Amino acid sequence: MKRKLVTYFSFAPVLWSVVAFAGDPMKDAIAVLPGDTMVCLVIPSLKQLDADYGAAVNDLGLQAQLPPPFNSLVGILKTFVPPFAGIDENGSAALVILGAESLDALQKQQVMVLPSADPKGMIEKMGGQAGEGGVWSVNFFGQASFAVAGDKRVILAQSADAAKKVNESKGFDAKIPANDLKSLEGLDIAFWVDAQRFFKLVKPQIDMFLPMMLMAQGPKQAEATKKQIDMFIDGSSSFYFGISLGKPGLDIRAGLGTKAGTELAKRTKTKATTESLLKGLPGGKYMLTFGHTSDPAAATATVKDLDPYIGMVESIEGVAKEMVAELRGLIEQWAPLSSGGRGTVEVLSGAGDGVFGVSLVVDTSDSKKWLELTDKAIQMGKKIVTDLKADSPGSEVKEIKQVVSAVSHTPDVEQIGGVKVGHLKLDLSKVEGVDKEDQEHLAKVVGKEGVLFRLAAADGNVVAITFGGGQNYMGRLLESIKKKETAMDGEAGIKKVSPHLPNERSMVLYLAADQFVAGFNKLMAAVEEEQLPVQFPAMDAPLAFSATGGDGWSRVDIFFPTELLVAGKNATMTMMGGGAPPPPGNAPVVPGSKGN
Amino acid sequence: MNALRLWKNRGGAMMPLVLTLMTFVGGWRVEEPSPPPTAPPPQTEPITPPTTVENPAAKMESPVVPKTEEPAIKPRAEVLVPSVRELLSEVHRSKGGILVRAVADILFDRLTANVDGMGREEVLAVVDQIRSWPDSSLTCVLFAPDPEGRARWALRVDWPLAELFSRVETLVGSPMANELFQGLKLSAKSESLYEIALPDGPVAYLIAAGSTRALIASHSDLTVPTDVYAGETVEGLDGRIVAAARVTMGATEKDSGATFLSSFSMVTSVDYSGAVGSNGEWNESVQVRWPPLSGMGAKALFGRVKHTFFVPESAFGALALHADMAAGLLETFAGFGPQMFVEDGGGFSFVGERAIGPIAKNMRGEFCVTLLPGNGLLPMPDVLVQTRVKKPDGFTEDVRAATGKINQLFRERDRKEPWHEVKVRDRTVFWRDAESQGGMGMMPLVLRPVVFATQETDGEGKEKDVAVVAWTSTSPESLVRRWLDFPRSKERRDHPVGGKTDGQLWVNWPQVYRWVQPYVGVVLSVASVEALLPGIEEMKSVLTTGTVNATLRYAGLTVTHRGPIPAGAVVIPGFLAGALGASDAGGSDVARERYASQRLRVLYHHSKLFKKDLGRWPAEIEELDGYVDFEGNPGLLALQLSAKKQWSEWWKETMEASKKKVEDEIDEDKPKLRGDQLYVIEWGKERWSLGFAPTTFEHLEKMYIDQDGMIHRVERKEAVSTVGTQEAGSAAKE
Repeated sequence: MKRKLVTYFSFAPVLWSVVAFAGDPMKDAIAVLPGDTMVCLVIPSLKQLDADYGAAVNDLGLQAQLPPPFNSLVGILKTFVPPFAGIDENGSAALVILGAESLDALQKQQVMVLPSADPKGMIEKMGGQAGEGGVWSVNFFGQASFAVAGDKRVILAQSADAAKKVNESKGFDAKIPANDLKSLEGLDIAFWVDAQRFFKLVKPQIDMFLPMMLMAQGPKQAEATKKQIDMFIDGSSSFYFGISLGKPGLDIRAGLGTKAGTELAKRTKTKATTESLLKGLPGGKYMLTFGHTSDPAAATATVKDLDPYIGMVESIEGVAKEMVAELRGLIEQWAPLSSGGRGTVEVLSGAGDGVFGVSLVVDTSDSKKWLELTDKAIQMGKKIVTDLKADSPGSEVKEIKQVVSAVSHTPDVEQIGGVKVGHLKLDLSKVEGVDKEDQEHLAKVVGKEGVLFRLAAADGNVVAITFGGGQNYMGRLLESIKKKETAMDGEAGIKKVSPHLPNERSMVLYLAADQFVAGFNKLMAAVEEEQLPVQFPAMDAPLAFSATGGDGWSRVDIFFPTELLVAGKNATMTMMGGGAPPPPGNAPVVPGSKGN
Repeated sequence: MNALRLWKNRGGAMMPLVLTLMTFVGGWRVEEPSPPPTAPPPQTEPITPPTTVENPAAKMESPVVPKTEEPAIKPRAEVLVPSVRELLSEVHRSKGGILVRAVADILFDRLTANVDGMGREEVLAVVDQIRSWPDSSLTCVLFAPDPEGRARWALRVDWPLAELFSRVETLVGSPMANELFQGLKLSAKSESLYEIALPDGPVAYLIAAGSTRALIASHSDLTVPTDVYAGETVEGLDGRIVAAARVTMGATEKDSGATFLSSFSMVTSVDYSGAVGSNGEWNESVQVRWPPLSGMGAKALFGRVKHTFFVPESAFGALALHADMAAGLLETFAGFGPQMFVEDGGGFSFVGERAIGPIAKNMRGEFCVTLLPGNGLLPMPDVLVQTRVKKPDGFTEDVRAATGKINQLFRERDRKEPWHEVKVRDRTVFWRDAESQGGMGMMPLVLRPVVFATQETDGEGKEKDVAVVAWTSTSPESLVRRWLDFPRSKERRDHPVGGKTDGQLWVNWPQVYRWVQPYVGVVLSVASVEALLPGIEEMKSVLTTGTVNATLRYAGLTVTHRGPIPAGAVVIPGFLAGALGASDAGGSDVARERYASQRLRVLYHHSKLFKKDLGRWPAEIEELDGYVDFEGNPGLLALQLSAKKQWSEWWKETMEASKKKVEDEIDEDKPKLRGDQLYVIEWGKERWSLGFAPTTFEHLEKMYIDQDGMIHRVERKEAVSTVGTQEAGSAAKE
């Protein structure tokens, strides 16, 4: 069985490693699959896939590394897999696993659907022997298999029944959840799983092996991990993964369907919107910028995830359990206050401002309460740590206490633009073990103000937080919030990649690789370390990440613009290429070295 | 005749080395040269220059199809001495010069006294000849062996060809040369080419390199590249460069079947530059160049040494490094982790958990290894490794727990407990008795691991907790006391010195010399009874300490050395030996061709035996089974493919796994062509040939050996598709 599975799934890497952007033949390809499909891998158009794979090879300048036939997926199949010589690249292909009663029965339920203009001829070329009921016996990669000549397709399976069933039964498009079908549109390759039926088969194995796999974790941690896994198994109804590539770039998409009323459904519930998620952020060059909405009920549910860690804290000698419970209560009040947030990390250019500046905006139902609870949680956390005993040899408690005692939160300590601003500070001079050189480096990284966060209630519902950049930096953010600035949405790179993400989003994140490398190099310079030997050209092509969803479903997309892929490939080539030129020096010119 | 064989084979590449050594040993005089001879070279031979070296014995060159054009090659090793006289002068001026002269004199005496069949006078006469030669630069390059496996090298001097000819002619005509190489002849091939030959073939050529320079080379068509590495000065080092060398680790030969990944080389080159500074110390640098990816890997393994460690002035030396992986090694060497038990039957087993132990748990990446002079009859040096620890009490507790567990394992097996805990000056010291494991009775000395925590003041006067792991052949307690008693005055050495470093080695040469001089003297006296190294008192004034400093960068590693002893004396021969040793079986067109030639020759030899027995040539490769031990020499039925072909073969084999069973594969590590796919025999009554299948090589359409034992090559006109059927054309019979 193992060998047969390997044979079938040996094609998966070929299929997965390639990408293309097609129109919308996915629905048609799914429609001809049987309603009993439990797992499927679908390529809606081989031709489109092949064309875009070839285009990607050219765009990335990989012609030398992938000479013919490796620059064509269909070419690879036709060259190396003689049985596939007759496939019709205009059609769709699929690998299907039908529903099974047991894990052992899975092997017989695997079916491969190959497009062919002459299905019978293709089977004959495979050396097929005609049998009863239109089922042929074929030797497929040394395995006794069965084939059926369908409508412009050849169906290959490990059992005659499965082959016939796939040929005769259609209409999977009506069975697959509508949200999933919609999300799979436009993908070049999609892998979909009916989670409930699949997990039912593999659950006994998971239950058998999971305890062994979790043995390395502590009991509390293992319990938390098991809860998460159980929550996923019990709550998921389907999940999928897919890829598409077009001229604009590569889109990797994954999604999850959940059963109504389950814990997983509560946790993954999101509030998608077509409105800007970056509103209120100042524009300009950024390393990273993001925005998200959050569901208060989901936030409250997530607090439960902290329980194992809270349990671990409680188990430490000297920790007052009632104080930990109080802290948990504060977090429970604090979490649902927020309905969304956004932020930017950027490379600062001002002298003494530090290397990075961080701007955060939090949407709350009550910004003053949010800040009050934050202050209370900080003070409570400090007290819990301060009360710890530090007498056992090798214990880290002394260091932790030292760091925590160096943290101070002072609300309303200054006014910027008419807004009262508080300081959350870590005084490094109070921390032993940070030597003089490290302190000097850190001062260059975080700026002359040290490790200082500014927190302010920009208005009744919005909290503004900054790190680095001094007072002016907070002033700029407050001004931007006041104006409900949407400059970030207008940034050239974001404008370019945003259309390739879903219109309705609950979260979005953009990472500008060129700024990221520039920031990293500035950081290295600040700590007197060598800078990276590669540089990304300035480009308006950030890596984009988005999440969306609704009741019972969620989906994430990661989009890599082509410019970014090309720059990444060039950087990799540089990294792997010959060493950098010799360091400058007074290399003597030796007459004898000029050669004959 | 052994010398002859050595010369003819790979050892022929040693010629420039021998010459260079002779100039060093003989002390090429620094006087003005005698006037160069003006007589033109004799022209008694036809003026038709050969393009390649003939090998009459093997008759490898094809009379029908000329050998394909030599693929572009770059030297694997380059050595440049800008001026031999300046080099010698600087060696004499250097602080270690007195030592170099002493060793050179001893070696010279030994060399001249041991040339078989010759008097010392004859040898000295030759040496005097060399001494009288005018100054020149020396450029030596070593290439990869040619397609027939013969070494390729060239040595260039700043003399016109006529002068070089004259000097070599003198040497070739000397009694010494006649004795060493019987029948050695020098003859003109053209106005710009001379051949040095033995009765069975040429061994080297003298070639004009412009009007003022000339080469001695293994092949008549070799040239020395225009960009031979000339060395470079590194910040902090002074002096004019007197020797430079480079060994190229990346591809040096054309590889038509290379892929992006196969072209990647972890290290591209290693360069050496040597100079003698104004104070007489050697100022040397070794630059290891690599792609940035390697640099990132190196930086992940090694970090900057930011702190200093106390090192006694009487130590032999000390090495400070920052390597996180060192903790695991130290732990193993100290005897923690799984324990080896010698069984009654003579075998052994390992017992115990492989887990993070007390050293790895507490050690920071930085550490300093110090070598201290030993005590006793056999004064084996003591080794101490210092590392900073945050919590000395926790470290001691962890060591106690770990040693307790190990002792329990031994108790359970009725063995003596290996670890002991003692107090030395209020410090808890753990030491291990290696004898407890048994089987150590025959060892002349035993190194006992010693572990303890102490405090040291650093260069800034701050007290820091330090863990010490040491090995001593004497009493562990004495070692601890000795370490604590070392004077820690203001003049103490805090290692590393000089600020930022990625690793620093300090060598206390006077101390090392004091230790080794008596032993080396004994050894040298075997070579020459009069051999005597200078005494320590004599050396005191010139022998300073040496410092090796490492700077790690994305583009490479720069190692600088400042000290009395030239590291280049080891590095340059190391480069040359490394370049000679590299084989690159599947890494270039020439390398694959070379291996292919060897296989064809072997199979041809056995095919002749086959024909002698059966009166016909073999029609299929399988027919040679019995004549050839294919089972014992599976490599004969396989050929390492180019990276491109390996990739395509992998695909093919993956896709056709069910067709071809793995049982008939010879080596599963890398895809190779099987014998029935690899060879093609063209068979007839009159004509016969054994060759490789058409798609075997990227750059050759055909390569085969005919019935007369001649190897033929047909160049590929167009780039062959990397993919295609490689079906066995086992025997196309006439």
